[in-house]
Amino acid sequence: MSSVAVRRERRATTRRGQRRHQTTWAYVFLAPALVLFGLTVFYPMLRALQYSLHKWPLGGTKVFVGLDNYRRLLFDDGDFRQSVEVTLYFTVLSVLPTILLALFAAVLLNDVRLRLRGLFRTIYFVPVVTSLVAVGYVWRALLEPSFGLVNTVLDWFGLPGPGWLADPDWALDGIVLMAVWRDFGFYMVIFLAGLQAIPRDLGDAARSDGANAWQRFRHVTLPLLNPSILLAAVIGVINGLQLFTQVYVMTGSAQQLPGGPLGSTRSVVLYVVEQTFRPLEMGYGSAAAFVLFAMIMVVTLIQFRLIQRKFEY
Amino acid sequence: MRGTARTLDVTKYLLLLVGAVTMLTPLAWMVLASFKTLPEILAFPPTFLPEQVNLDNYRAVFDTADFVRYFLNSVVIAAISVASVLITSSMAGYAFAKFSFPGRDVLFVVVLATLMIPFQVRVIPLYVLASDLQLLNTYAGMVMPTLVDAFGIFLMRQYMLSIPNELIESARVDGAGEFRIFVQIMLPLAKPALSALTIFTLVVSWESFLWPLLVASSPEMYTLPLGLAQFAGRFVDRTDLQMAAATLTVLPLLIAFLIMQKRFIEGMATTGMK
Amino acid sequence: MRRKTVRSATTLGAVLLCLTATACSGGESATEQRGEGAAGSEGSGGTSTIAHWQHHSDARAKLVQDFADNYDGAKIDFQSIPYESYFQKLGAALEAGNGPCVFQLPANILAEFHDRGELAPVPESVMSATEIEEAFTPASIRLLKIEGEYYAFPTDVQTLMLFYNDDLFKEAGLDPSQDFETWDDLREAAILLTKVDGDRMTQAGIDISASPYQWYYSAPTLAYEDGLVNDETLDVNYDSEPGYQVWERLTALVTEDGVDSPEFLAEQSKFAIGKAGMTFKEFTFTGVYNLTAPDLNFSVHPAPPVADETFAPVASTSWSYAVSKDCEDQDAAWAWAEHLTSEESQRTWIAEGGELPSRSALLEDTSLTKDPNIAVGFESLTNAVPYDAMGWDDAFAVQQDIWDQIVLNGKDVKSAVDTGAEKERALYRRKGLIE
Repeated sequence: MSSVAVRRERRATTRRGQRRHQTTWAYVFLAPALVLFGLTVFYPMLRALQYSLHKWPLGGTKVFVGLDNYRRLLFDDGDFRQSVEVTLYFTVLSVLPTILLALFAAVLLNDVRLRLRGLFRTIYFVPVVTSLVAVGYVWRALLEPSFGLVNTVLDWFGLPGPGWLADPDWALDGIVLMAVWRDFGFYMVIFLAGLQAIPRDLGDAARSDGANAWQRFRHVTLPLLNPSILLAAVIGVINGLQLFTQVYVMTGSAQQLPGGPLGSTRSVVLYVVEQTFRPLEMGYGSAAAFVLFAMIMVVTLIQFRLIQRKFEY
Repeated sequence: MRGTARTLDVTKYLLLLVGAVTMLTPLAWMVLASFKTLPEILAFPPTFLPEQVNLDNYRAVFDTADFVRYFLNSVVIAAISVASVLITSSMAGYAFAKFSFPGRDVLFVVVLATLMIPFQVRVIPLYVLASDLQLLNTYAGMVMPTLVDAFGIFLMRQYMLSIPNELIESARVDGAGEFRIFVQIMLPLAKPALSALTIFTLVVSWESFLWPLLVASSPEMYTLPLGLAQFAGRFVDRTDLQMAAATLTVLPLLIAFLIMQKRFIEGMATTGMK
Repeated sequence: MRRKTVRSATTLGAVLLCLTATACSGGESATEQRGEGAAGSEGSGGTSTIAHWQHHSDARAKLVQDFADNYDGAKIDFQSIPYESYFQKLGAALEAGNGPCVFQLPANILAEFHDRGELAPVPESVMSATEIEEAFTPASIRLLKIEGEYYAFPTDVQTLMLFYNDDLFKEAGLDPSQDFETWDDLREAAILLTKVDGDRMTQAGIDISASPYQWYYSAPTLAYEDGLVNDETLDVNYDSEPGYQVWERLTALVTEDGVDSPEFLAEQSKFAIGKAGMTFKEFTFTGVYNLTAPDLNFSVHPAPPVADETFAPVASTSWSYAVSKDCEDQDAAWAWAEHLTSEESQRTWIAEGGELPSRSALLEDTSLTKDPNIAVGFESLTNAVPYDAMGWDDAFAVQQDIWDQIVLNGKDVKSAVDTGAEKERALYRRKGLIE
């Protein structure tokens, strides 16, 4: 009886000691990241938060305006509302096909018996590393409504090609097309890395049990790939909601303001940039960024919950 | 049975081939355009193959810009960024994945949240800070925003969660120190994630434009994208020179990926099979 | 395997340390060499260093670099910045207090920078107000005078001109040597020059739909003798009869006459590739077309009057060289700005940069106008009315929205213009320019 109590007592002390040990070491491992974060991320963010409560002309006199920037954004600003819709539409429409295509390519290219798979992997990854200036230029030519390659191919199948970037109803879809093309190689790499972690014997075992390719994928590969898929989804959503560069290179040039036609491709981040660097005033744009921040936060927290649940069993 | 397998194989290769052509066309267009004259690039209907291969654009790029210097600057900046991001992300990711400590979840959410503030909003305060710290026009200033990456921490955490705790526990029982466990057990197992993160950081660093532009105040500090931008004008873009410069810019990244994907993705496959 | 990993991790760490160390040390020495920030200008050995920034364009950058290299008055630290990021770089530097001494601004936002307390007036010792008014064309300096003082020297003067494709004109039976007398003449010619194959356009009468920002500059400007903003009240005036008429006429070219379509060769320079009979562009495009389309046969003409038949102004835009109030050596900075816009320098600008002059004296110089297109450009300066919106890309975005609402969204002209004018007023209020 007493020996049990002693043992229990000792276990409790070790657990407490272990907890202290864990906390100390956790912070040791976190320290480099946190120090750099503090300097290059948290501090500038807090400053930006401060900006958002001011009228903050760059180099000029700052005036405190309280929550006025936020009030105007949320209640009086139709352009901002439109940019939120554009951003959400883009995110939904680009993330799903990108992930499906990437998954498909990764599974195909994970087959060790496949010849030239290194070459194919490299080719599929090429768009990720291609200069966006060049990519934007080429895709604009490809999407040209009357003579561009995309509409020419659609025409072969008897499909009427839309006006793409020239048409407010289609411009965003044109950007989705380019984004899927450019990003999917990146997700493919994530999935390839995830697939490597799956022991090959599992698939072989399923094969000898008489499972066909689809069954093996559905019941062996897919569940084990779940963490990678959710990771890709979170990255995709965060990147999608921060849509900027793609719009910039596809719809803007020195001759043309980006975000058109009629604001149909103006994302929230583009709006933030417009509101900041056209009038060279930080307050309003910063406020818009924090509203976006709140939005993404909510979405991500939901996703994060999902991921954690997947990991907890 | 044999026949179906062969049809399946043919379909597979066909699909991959169509995909490869789609992926490569814009790149091919870029490379081919780099050999064309400006009027030919802008001509309509467009030509695919250059009427005549000429290297004038490459010559002009090397003449007007100190491309070698820009390239070296890009390499230095990318190397510092990649090294720093790999170290900070794997360490922090390890802490978040494998330690329990008070405030962990809150801290993790806070770190994650920073991903959601667009850089364009942080850029001004960060610039003022860099200026106050006398870091303008220095490498230290150029790499400032890419030294640590919330996405990297997130990626490493997610990956390390999937590594069984027993490995760490048994190492601890064997008396291994925390750093040794991290370096000898966690890092080798996290190689696929590290490789993905390397590529990602490399691409981001290689393409980054706005920050280097703000910080660099003399051409000796320019990176490749800044050099590239010198060919875009207010009224006319020197698309011919841009394409040549873009080709030169992309080439090193492609080579890096070729090496990387062999070493990490394939390498992992073989070690997995033993 | 594991040992290898440890070794490579250690190497990586060592490399990082080395790099950071070299980076920092290299950085410090670089800072020391540069002195106290870019705006600083120390008098080491009598000559000061003047930091000069402007947005990048091929010809201009080369010219300014040449001027800087041959300039004795001071050492010029010149930086040519990509146009799309120019204001970001300038804004960040202003906030950190290390902006350049001399920088280039569109004349339209000079007043805004003045309100922030960034600018120094041209000192009497360099040029008095009277001297400035005598030396420069009225259109180029109208926006540079704030509360009785001049705050910059004019540069990069552009007039918005009609370009004809001479070959397509002849093919359509039109005479490319004639200016249009009335707006209806232009319309008829544009219709003649338009070619359609079935329901597909194959040639535009006038290249108008791919971001015709030049039209937004001109549309409201051309309607009023004093420009689109009232000088006294700073109020926008284009939501009144002449304004509606101008917007109506310009947009009708697309919406009614169909002389161009937004979906025809979108994103391409239709005029440069010979697929448009006319275009409407800054004068500097003479140089652009010589570079991008050497085989194109074109001529430059003034646009016919759009509103009042008796009054045919030419819309113009211009930039300016301003000096930061924080610049230590004001005299040296102004001397450099004056040098860049001097008669002698402008001769080089005209010859090598394809620019139009802002010095009145040069307008009389017939040796400069041997090329007929340049002669037309010089002539246009005498009727120039500056685009005087109190903003740059922000004002221009408002006017683009008016255009797109009419052309792409089918909104009626009056309500689109009214909405736009209200937006522009809101913008001015936000800038603190009007109540």
